Amino acid sequence: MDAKILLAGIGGQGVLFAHNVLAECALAQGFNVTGAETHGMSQRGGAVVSHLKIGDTSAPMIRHGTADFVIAFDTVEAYRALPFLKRGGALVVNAAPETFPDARVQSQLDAWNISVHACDADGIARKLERASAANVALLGFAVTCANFPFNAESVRAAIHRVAHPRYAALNDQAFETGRTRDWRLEVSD
Amino acid sequence: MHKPNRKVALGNEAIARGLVEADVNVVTGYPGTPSSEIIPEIIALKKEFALNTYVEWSVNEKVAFEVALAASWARKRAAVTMKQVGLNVASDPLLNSAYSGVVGGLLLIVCDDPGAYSSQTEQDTRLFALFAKIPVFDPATPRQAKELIAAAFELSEKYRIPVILRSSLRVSHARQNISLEPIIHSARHANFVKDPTHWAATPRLRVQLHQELNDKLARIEQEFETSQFNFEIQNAGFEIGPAAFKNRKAESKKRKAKNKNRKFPLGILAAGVPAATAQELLQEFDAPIPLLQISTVYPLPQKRVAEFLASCERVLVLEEPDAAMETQLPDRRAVLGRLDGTIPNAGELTPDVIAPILARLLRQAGLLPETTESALPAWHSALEDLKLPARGPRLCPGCGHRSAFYTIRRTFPGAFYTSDIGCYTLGINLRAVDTVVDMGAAITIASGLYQAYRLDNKTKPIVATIGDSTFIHSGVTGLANAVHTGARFILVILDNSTTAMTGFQPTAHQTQLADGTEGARVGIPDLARACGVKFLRTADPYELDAFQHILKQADEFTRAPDGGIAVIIAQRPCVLNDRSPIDAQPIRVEVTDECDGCKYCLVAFECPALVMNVKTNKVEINYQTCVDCGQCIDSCYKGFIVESKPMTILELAEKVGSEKGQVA
Repeated sequence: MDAKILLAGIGGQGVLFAHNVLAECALAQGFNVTGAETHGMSQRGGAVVSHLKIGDTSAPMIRHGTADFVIAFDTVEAYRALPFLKRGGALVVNAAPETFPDARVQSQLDAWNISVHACDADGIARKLERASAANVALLGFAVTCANFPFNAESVRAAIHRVAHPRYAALNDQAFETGRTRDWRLEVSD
Repeated sequence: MHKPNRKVALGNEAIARGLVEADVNVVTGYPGTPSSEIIPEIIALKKEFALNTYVEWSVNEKVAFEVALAASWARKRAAVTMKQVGLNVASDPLLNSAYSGVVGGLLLIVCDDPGAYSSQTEQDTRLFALFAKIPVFDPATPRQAKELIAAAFELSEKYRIPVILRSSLRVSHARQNISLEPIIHSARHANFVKDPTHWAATPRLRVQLHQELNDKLARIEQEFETSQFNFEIQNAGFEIGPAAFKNRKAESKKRKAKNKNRKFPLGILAAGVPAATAQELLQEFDAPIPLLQISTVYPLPQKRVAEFLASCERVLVLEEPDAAMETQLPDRRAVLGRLDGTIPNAGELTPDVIAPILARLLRQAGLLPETTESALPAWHSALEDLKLPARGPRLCPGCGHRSAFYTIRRTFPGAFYTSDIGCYTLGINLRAVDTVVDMGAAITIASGLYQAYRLDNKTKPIVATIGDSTFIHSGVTGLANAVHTGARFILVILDNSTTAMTGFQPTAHQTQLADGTEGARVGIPDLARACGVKFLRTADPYELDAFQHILKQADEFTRAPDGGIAVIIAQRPCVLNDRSPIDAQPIRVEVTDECDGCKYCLVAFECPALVMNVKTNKVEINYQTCVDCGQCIDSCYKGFIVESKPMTILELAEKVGSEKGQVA
């Protein structure tokens, strides 16, 4: 398998956790992984971008126009990361579907045949009363997107291996809500 | 047979694992991005495998290097870690150690920062190696870094010379699956053999030692000519397995036989991360040209490289951040690189930088069709319309440095603010930082400014700010100098009880050592007093009025006839590291409806939790990031930021739980 996934967000959103989960998935299936992440001042509110490449490459960074998926935990960073997507690539974004994308990028999305999958993961996290569950909810949502390299079972198992056992039940709940996409029914009350 | 385990590791974790598998005995270092994760991982492995390893966070890089050098002289295997600018601090013993030599292997691990993501310079440690006459290895990936470590120790011991492993941001902070080899416990007994001709050589002997060093380098270059760590790849089979360097020779011999009399129109000579990037691009472009990756950058295996250059019409040299290999090439007529302007002379060599250069050269060689599309211009114009907000780093909500800077600026609006390296460099956002040079320079720059104005019989208020760890690193000598020479300014030591920016390493004024065991506290007040400081106060910057009062007293002291330098230690634990003082007394704030959107608080207090709602033209509190420090109340002089009703115990418990918890 060859896949390039770029994860984008801001400090504290669990971008690197999501990176580790997906890397763990790839490794469990016998693939090599290489990636790059931003550290340094990310905890001071800066943007966090992490590059994850699955398959036989040793180059850590993803070039613009070549990513299969961008998973964005923040809408501003989602827009900034769009140029990384290849033709026919997909954006998975933490945003209420009716608010994303902005009309001003639609023609460029169409020109490059990029599909946008929006899920209000923050809304799910609020419903679960745990802000930091948004990243797991978004991963749950991501596995339902066409051509996503991992299925729900392997991502769920990887989350269990990477996260603290204390959060297993909560993570399962967040993941499942993201995956089944019926979060609206639950949060609209 | 035991099957080696696989693990996805951060580059620095791979380096730590490599050190432990190579039976390192002593590891020292000073934190600095991107090198800081090596020592914590060594400590974790030491605990996991009950290793008899000595590990320390030294007070600075020079100290770290000297402690490790001595351990090597006592026959132990030693490693030192630092970031590239840390090597400037350690350069004095480094250059000497090339002459004196070592006994146990001495490996210096320096992490460069192409792109200067978190550094003052883009300096190239490999050029430092040339200057110091010390061999340097340049891995492209975490796997290669790990594999080079054992070889580096062997080389160091064989030739009795220190060796540098040059990592870089995209190696140290790359993540890759590595294989875990067994960890062997050995028993190297300390055995310091007195040898004054090397360990205390007088100037008379130094030329002789220099000649010894030159001889070693000549032999090492010979050894590098056939090193398995330099290998040629043609665009065929890019599989890089767990053994990153294995099975290269057969492939390269086959190529030579096939193309004996033919020259390639283009070849690539590469080292480090750009070598991995170029490999991937060649595969993507399906370009049938050879790439020679050199991991032993100095001394450069000249014959090996010359042979490669002779097999190509033109050769593109890819390396970063500077031209360490290229400058060693005696004949550069067919070479394209930084020195002839083909490759930009600043900035990181990302795939986005390399791709268009490589594509152009391949097209010129007739190896790539004319059209390569880039969507970047179209994206840029589409995204420009969105006016996405810039997201620079800022001091955290509740940071004690913010309160200190807020009061310093309010008390001395026209002062010169000299500052230093650490989180508090971000005081620039509060316009309370005018200069940042290197570790300790807040104090020396303040001294120089004072002396410059004194020549004109003028005095300017000067407030220097420096962190606790930075003060102990390199501030003390500057303070001794300032007191001795009669400089007058206010020095605020921002003591947050940790090395916050690099990940909360303990400092010498805590009793905790790197591995959590007890050490002795080196008191900052004691150090200041010992330097001869006569005005010394300790204060909590959260107590805004009291802190301002002390600042005014300090100012008077700097201008009094028998006055001098005034030192204030601003004590407030880092809010990311220790929330207990705030949690003991949370102050929840709210903005009243009277807010008129004047933005004064946003500019003067600059807290990320204060946000402007453009629809209502009122400031709001972002309760997801607010830590309930209550410090911003003072920043609305109109009184529209107020303490809200106290939280119930239930609300408090929930808030503390959700922020401390780690679902992610």
